[in-house]
Amino acid sequence: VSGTVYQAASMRSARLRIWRGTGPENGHYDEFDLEFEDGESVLDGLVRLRHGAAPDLAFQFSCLNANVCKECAMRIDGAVEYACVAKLKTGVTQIDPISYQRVMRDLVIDPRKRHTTPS
Amino acid sequence: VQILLELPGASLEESSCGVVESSLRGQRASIRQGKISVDFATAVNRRRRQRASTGIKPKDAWMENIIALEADVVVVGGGGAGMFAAIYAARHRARVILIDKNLVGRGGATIMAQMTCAAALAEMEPDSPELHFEDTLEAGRGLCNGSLAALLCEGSPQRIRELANWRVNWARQENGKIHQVKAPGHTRKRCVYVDFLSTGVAICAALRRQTSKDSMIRVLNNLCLTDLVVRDGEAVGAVGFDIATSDAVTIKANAVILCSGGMMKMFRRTTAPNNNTGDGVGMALRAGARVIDMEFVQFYPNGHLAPRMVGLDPTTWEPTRVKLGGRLLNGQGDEFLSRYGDYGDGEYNTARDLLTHAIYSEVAAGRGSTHGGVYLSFQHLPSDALTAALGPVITIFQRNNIDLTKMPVEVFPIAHYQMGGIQVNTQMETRVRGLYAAGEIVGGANGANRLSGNALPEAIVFGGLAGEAAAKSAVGRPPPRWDGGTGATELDLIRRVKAPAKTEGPSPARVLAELRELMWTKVGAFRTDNDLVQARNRIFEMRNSDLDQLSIPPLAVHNASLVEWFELRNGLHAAEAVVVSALNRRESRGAHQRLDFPQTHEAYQVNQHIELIKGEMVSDLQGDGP
Repeated sequence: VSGTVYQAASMRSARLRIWRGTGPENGHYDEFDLEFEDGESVLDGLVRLRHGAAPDLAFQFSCLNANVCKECAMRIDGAVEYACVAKLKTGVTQIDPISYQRVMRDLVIDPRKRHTTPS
Repeated sequence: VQILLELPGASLEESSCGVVESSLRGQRASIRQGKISVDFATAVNRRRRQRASTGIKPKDAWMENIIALEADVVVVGGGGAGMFAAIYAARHRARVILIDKNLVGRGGATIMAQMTCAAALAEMEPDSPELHFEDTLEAGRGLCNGSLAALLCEGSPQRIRELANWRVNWARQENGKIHQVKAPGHTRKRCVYVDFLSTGVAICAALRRQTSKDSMIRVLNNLCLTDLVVRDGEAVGAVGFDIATSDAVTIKANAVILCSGGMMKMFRRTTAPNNNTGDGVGMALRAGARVIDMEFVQFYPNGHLAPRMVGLDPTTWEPTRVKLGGRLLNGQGDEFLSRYGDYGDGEYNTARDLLTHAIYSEVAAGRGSTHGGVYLSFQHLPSDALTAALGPVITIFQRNNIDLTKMPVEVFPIAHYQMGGIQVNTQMETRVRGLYAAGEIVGGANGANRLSGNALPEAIVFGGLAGEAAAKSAVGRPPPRWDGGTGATELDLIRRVKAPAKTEGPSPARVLAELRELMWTKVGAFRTDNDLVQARNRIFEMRNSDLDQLSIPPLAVHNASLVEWFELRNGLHAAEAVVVSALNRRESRGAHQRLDFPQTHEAYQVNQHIELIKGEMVSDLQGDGP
C-alpha cells in the first residue's frame, strides 16, 4: 500500500454546552464532557450522550451521518448546521435549537414551521 | 374522552408534525363527544402548549387523549415502498393515511440509496425482464420465490419511466436515452441512477411531491405505531402514539400495508437509517403473519471503515467501484481476490456474498488493514477520471481529509439489507387478511442473496402492487368495528410503558446498543452454533426480562426513550427470528455462512418459515433439518 496509511486516530476531549428546555422562557444549558475520535460529527457525540450521560436528550435524525434526511439541523456555535456534518472539536461547542420560538423540547423544533436550512 | 375525527376528503398539504395538527391543518374538525362540538384545533394547541410548558405529562392523563383516526388503507412507513403504496392506493380511490416514525419521504432507507436501481430498459444494449429474472434467480442461490422475483423484474421498467415523468432526472446518454451501468452479478448494463450518488434523494423528492399534492393521502409524521389490531383473523387497523405529545393514536382501517423497512439497525455496524428497527417484522409476527428466510442478511462488502467519514453514506464505495473499478488490497498491499476464485477482468463484478467472504477471510488470516479491514485504492487512476465520476462528492471527501489520488481508504463488510421478511402472495398480502407488506420488509424475491440494484425495484414495484391490491379490497366496505374491547390490550401496553418507571433499570437506548453489539459479534456474516446459541439465549432473556425493567424518563414531548422501548421490543422479535433461522439452517448458502457447516446442501434448498405461537418463535425447519 502506497501513500498514507492510517494510524488509529487519537482520542480528544470536547465539552458540549447544550440548550435544554421546552420553550423560550423555560430552558437552560447542560454541559457534558465527551471523548471523541478525530473526524467524528456532532451527531456522533449527541448519540453517544443519549447512551450515557443524557438519556433524555431530545434531538432528531434519521439517516445518521449521510446528510440526506436533513432532519438534524441545529445551531452549532451560533450557526445553523447539520449535526451530521459538523465536526466535533476540542474545547467548548455550544448547541442550540434552530429557534427558541419553535422549540418543542431541547433541540427538537416543530417542523411545521421549519424554514431555516443550513446554507 | 375519546375524540373521533372524520377523515375529510378535502385537500391536505404535506404536514410535518404531530398527528393531530397534521390531520387538522387549518380546518375545524368536528368532535363527536356526545353532542358537544368543539373547535378541536384550539383544544389540541392548548394541550400542546400546556404539555410543552411542563414537559411532564399528568400522571393519569393518558386516557384523556386518544386520537382516533379512520382510513380505507393505512400505510406504515414513508420510504419508497410506502409512498408508492399510498399513491397507488389513492389512485384506486382509497382514503389513505401514510405514516412515518420520522418524516415521510425523509426517514427510511430509500433516501439513502446512492446509485443503482435495476430495470431491464434496454437503453444501452439488448435486455429483457426475463434476463433480469435469470440473474436474480442465479444470485438468490436457489431460494428465490419465482413469482415475486418475476413481478419485480417485470414491473421495474414501468416504474422507472413513471418516476422520469415525475421529474426524476435519471443520468442520460448523449442521445438522450437513459444511461445504464452493469452492477455486480448482472449480465447486462441494466442499472439506472441519478448523479451524483443521488438516486434515493431524487426518488424521494419526486414521491414527496406526488404524495403531498394528492388529496386522498393524509401524511402523518412522527407517529410511532406499536401494534397492529387484528379481529377475527383480519387486520382492522393499528394503534400507536404521537411522538410529539405521547398521545395514544388509534387508526381503524380495512387494510394495513407495512412498508417500514428492514431490521438492519439491530446490527452495530450498519448502513441502515436510524428507524429501520424491525418494526414491521415484530408487528407482523405478533399479528399472526409468517416471516420467511430471516437468516439471510446481506453484508455489504465495501462498507466504509476508516478514516472517519461524515456527511456521506458508508455504502459510497460500491457505486464508486461500479464506475471506477478500484483495487482491493490486503494489509500487505497485495491484491487477494484471486485467492478466493475471483480472477476478475479489470471490472468490478464480484458477487456480494463472495466478496464479503474474501474480505473476512483475509482479515481473519491476519492480513488486514490498520483498522481491521482491507484497503481500497483508486490511486492508479488519473484525478480527472475521479472528478468525472464523482463530481461534487470529491468535495465531501476533501472535507473528511480523504484524497483518493494519494491514499487508499479502508473498507469492511457492513450489515446492509434483509433478504428475508414477511411472507406475502403476489398481491403482497400476508396470511392475515387485510395485512399487506412491501419493500425490504418482504421476504422471498431475493432468496439467499440480493442482486445489486434490486432493492429499489423491490420498494417501488411491490409498493405500487400492495397499494393497488389493498385499495381494491378495502374501498367500499364499511369501516371495521372495534367494539368488544378491540385494540384495548394494545392501547393498554402503551399506557403501561408510558407510566412512570418503577425501576432504576438501564435506558432502552443502552439495551438497544447491547443488542446491536450482540448481533454484530455473534450473528454476523460468519456464524457458528455456539455463537448463535449465546445470542438466542441473551435475546430471549432481553425479551422476557430486561424489557420490563427499563427506565423511561417521564417526558411527554419527543420522548425518544419511549420510541426506543417499542423499537427494542420489535427489534428483539426480528433479531430472534434471524437467530433461530440461522441456527436451523445447518449449511452455508448465499449470505448465510456457517463456519461449522461450510458446504451448501441440496436438501436445504428450501425456504424457512417462522411464526410466533404463544410467544415462542416456531420454525418449520427444526431438528436435524430437512
